[in-house]
Amino acid sequence: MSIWSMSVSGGILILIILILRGLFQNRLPRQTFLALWAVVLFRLLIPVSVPADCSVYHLLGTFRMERVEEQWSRVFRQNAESGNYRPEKTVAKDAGSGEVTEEGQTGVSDHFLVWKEIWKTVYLWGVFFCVLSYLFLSLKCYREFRISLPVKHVWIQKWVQHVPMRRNIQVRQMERITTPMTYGVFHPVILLPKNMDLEDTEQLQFVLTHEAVHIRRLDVVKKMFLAAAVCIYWFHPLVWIMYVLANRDLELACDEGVIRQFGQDSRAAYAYALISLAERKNSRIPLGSGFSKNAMEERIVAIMKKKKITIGAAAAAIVLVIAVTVFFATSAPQRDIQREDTMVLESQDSKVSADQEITQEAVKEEPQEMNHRALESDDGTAAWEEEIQKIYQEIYHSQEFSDYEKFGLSYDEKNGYLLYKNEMVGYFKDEMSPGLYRRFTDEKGKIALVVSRDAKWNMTGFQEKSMEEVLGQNGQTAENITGVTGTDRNGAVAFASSDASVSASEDVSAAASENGNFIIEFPDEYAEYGVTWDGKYHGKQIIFLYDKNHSVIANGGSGVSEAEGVYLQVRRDSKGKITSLEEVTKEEMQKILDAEKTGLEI
Amino acid sequence: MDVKLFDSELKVMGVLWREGDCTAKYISDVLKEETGWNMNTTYTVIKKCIKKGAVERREPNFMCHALVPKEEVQEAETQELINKIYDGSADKLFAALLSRKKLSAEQIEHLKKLVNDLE
Repeated sequence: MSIWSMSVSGGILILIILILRGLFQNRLPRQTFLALWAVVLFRLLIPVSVPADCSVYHLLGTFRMERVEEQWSRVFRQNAESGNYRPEKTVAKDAGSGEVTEEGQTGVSDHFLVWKEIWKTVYLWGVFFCVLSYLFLSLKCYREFRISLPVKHVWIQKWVQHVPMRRNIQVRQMERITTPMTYGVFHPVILLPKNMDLEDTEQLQFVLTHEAVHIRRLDVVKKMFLAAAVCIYWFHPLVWIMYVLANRDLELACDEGVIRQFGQDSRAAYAYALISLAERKNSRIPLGSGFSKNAMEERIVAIMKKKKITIGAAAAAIVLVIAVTVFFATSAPQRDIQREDTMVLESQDSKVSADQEITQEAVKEEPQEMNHRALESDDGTAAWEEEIQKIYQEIYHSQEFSDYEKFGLSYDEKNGYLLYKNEMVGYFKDEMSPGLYRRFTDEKGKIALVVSRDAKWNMTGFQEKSMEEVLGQNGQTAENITGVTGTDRNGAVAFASSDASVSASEDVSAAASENGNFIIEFPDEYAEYGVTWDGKYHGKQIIFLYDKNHSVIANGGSGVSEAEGVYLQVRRDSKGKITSLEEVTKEEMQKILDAEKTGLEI
Repeated sequence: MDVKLFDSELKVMGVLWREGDCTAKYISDVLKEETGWNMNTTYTVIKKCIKKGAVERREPNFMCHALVPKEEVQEAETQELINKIYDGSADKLFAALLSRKKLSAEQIEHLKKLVNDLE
């Protein structure tokens, strides 16, 4: 998860807690809210997403963190994309077409890239500054605390002896502080201001017990985590609010602990003790700031108002914490954003089992079922013709068609092809959403179209190219294609990947080889496992490769028998990193494909 | 020296007043026992005393010499107390001391003698 997505989900959590705190703070034990703040800290500081069906992000359906994140990362990756376009750009220049749109496209992504870089720098400097300030201030405090003097006082000595604590507590006194405090994790020290009346043992016991509760609960460590969150999320106003309120909650919870120890009847005495301490404090440094008055008042009110905690309240508290964690600290399950994908190529001798499949997925919230159509291999022409018609129909009836129409595309139903500026469209590519492409090639056509979209993924127009460019880019020439096809052959290709990172930079494209087999450019990550550019795995031709959740790639492997070729399954770990490429038999592969309900048949 | 001495500095002075001139190392050893300060802390405080003009550093061995006698500091502190809390009136302080029930018989005798001497 990125800082962005964590900020958003963290922010929402904080808002929820603010509401709950406002409603229930006097009815539930204060430590409930400390537990809730801890959940937020976990969410903010630990970049782990916990997918769950009960996540509110899944239930809401409309709002998806990952989708937002994906869109952002897609935008930022447009740089890579426009990098890929550059060769086209030069070609386009020569052909004298499509230049303007090209410019526009790089312009958009460059703009974002600049802002991204600026923000990155500003952010890092912000973190650096925050961390430095925190360390500097802490160090300054500790240096001053060093010269505190031990308190020699019989009552205090006795108290230290009898307080139940594993670590040794020191009680010391210092001139320059105005309020008792504690510091130190392994060797805790209670620091008393010099002007404190040590004879007032009632006040003393309250003060010492209060600090002891802080020490026992390791509140010093909790404050450090809060400070860390603020350093990392310095730009996030809600995190600052959390910092202030969580610190206050630490104090209030501590007060509750003291009262619990001394009994409900001690509330008034405790409150008075606090007030007299505060009095003395303010007389030396006349702050009178609204802020500290507020906090003080909040404490007194909380102490006096708090009733004894009932079992009911405790149970309600636990339920609340669990509910908030389960609903708001989880994220939408991967399934929701996963898109099945297939890229299918047809080899020249469609004889082989290669299926031609078209996968189009609705860009709606919930993905539809994949469409699969198997192609009978032998009689390429007629069946293919039927297929391409189906593709055209699908496009014609698709959501995006009204956009396409707006920009000049039309469907000639009678003749059965797509028209653009009175030319038949021979190549079409549309990246409808991150990593989800719609693409077809009908080499009968004369013109190639690539859909341009803006940062919000709305269509901005078509880039026109000539067929030579498009096919030439992939290592084919139109001649190659037509020459090679006795039967019509084309790849109706739709490639979709749920992993946006695979799409842009490792755009898997198909290129025809001389003998008509399409050569697939596998993603780079396969290379280190023995997959080579010509579709071979350790020398053996890959007949079929299956990479769940990323891309399913099938190579016709024309004429390659089961014995000579290899079926591969890509295995990944929970982080999405490849662990191995596994060789399986044809039956096993088919079983896998069936189990995954891909509908593919090899 | 007319800058006020803080408690920590008074601790250092205390050692010097008790034992006379000593090395900084010795002072830090003593104070380690008394207050738990580490050597760096003690040295920092000694340097502050030097800066305030209460202590003089002599070589060799970083010998420390008290420039201010104990009585002078006591007098200064008392005067400050009188000025701040007792409206500049020594009588009021005196009355307050007398009314404190915590005075021992010894102390009361001592005070009476003082009054005698001053009369």
